[in-house]
Amino acid sequence: MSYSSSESNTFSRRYELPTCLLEVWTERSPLSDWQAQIVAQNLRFRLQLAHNRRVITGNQQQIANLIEVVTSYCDRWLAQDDIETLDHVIVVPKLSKLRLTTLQLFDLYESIELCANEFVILPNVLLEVHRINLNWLKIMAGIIAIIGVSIGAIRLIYPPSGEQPNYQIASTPNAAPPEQAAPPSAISSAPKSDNKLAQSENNAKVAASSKSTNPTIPNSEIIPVNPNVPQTEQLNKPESKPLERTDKVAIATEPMNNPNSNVDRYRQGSTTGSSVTNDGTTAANAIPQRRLEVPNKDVLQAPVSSEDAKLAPSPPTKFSVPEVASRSTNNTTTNTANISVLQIKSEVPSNITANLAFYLQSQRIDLISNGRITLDLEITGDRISNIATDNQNSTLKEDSAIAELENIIRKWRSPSSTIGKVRIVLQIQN
Amino acid sequence: MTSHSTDSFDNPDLPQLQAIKAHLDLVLLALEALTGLGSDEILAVAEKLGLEEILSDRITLWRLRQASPLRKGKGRKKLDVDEARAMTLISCTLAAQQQFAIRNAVAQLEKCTALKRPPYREPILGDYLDRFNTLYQERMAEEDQAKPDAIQRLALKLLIDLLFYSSQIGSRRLWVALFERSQNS
Repeated sequence: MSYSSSESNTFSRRYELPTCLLEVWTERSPLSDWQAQIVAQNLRFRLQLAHNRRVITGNQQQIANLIEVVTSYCDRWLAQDDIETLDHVIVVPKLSKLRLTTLQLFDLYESIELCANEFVILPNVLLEVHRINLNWLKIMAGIIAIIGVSIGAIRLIYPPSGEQPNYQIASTPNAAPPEQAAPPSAISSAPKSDNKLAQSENNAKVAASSKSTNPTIPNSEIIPVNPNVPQTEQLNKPESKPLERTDKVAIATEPMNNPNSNVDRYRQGSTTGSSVTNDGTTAANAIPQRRLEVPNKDVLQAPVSSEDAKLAPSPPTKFSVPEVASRSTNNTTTNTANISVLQIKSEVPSNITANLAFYLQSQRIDLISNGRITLDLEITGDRISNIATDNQNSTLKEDSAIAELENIIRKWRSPSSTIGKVRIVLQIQN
Repeated sequence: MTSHSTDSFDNPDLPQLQAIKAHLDLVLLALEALTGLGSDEILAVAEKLGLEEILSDRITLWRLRQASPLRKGKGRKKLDVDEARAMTLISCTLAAQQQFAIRNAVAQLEKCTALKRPPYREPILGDYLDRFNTLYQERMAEEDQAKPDAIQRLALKLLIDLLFYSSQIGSRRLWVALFERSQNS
């Protein structure tokens, strides 16, 4: 054993025995002030076993393991009454297996005991490893959050086709057919060949808005539809209004009365985007889906939309007529505003974010209000646990509307349990 | 283990203490057999270690060694903690002084074991085994005498123990071994 301490705070030791050479380099831990021995820190060791010129190097944790394993092995072995073999196989965690004769074991034991006597070797390397792990966890969490948010954002910007937009288009062909005199069930499947583009949009909205009309009404409606007699409709519609309102929730966001505003909303394009293309193919494709969603309402849509089919195609000169019609529909749906999601920043899984967005866009508010609102939502478990309105970034000011919106949001249930915050920008529009 | 908590610690028949006393005596016996040292050397080391109050003369030494239950006196003599500690320190100091001889013997044992040759054919080991056997049969109670090959295994085991006790921290190892043996008994 030889001493050489180059600096006051670093030590190197050499424990030389006939079959074993252990060299140790270590720093002096500040803890040494409280100990009779030097407390090692950032220790490195090199162990050379003579028999096969094998060299083992390692750090503080590894020598701590080595000391513990060899010491307990020797103590046990010496306490035996009978000795079966003079050869030893010692497995040290995180080091290679040691194969030793008894003399080598003695020398190894001697060298590490001398080392352990001189230095307090704490397995403090574990702490460092732990710290690194924490950092990695943070980085991984960050990456996951970024991926989640970007997926959410991408979904919002490029919404998956075939959700709401299809419902709108789907309703247009049904609305189109002029032969409304036919039984309602037949109408629903009729092609929309003679419809114009603008008209179909119009139809879509009106159809949707009136989807929930009382089943008894169609009969009365069908009659006035074909002739351009809005008055009768006007009479009929208000009656069905109360019923409509209650049912509306089930259908997508389309109860717009004014064609222009409707188009506008498409352009703001929360989710619609491509849906406005009114060529027959998309419409035809969309039909089955709509059927799946609201099969029992086909009948009801037909009459109303057919009415619109007459009205909408007429150029502005005939505007007086559509006005009446739209007014009448207004009566039925005035009090509802659509919700469209403009932005979402989400910490929660993208499927939950998408579910929330989809849910919100399927809802509407029973009030006349327009504007944007930015909300900070906290999801706990399967529901929204907290809602905060960011007033600075909101143009929607009506308290009642906000209250109703919050009410809607609180009714949402997440498909799976999670915890996280979501910042969402909504457009409320009549 | 036949002891009960009601046993007095002074009871010399306490099996834990018997094992400790037996082992201390055997370690010295092995040292004597290997190196030929006797009571004079043991007493000299005791004096050097400042243990002369505990181990002042041959009679005291004899009494302490007679405490072993394997002895002809059946270990009726007492051995207290100070005496056990003194015996431990003396044995290990002697072993350290004789480390070269011990190491040589162990090396020879390893060699002949690897070559599958009987240890008593080796010069150093043969002498050691002879002397150990003689001393053992002289001192130990006849009815408790083990068979010759059991005595040989015991001698070789003690030789290896001596190697470990001969280190700078050998006394700690012997002390631990005594403790372990007292638990095993």
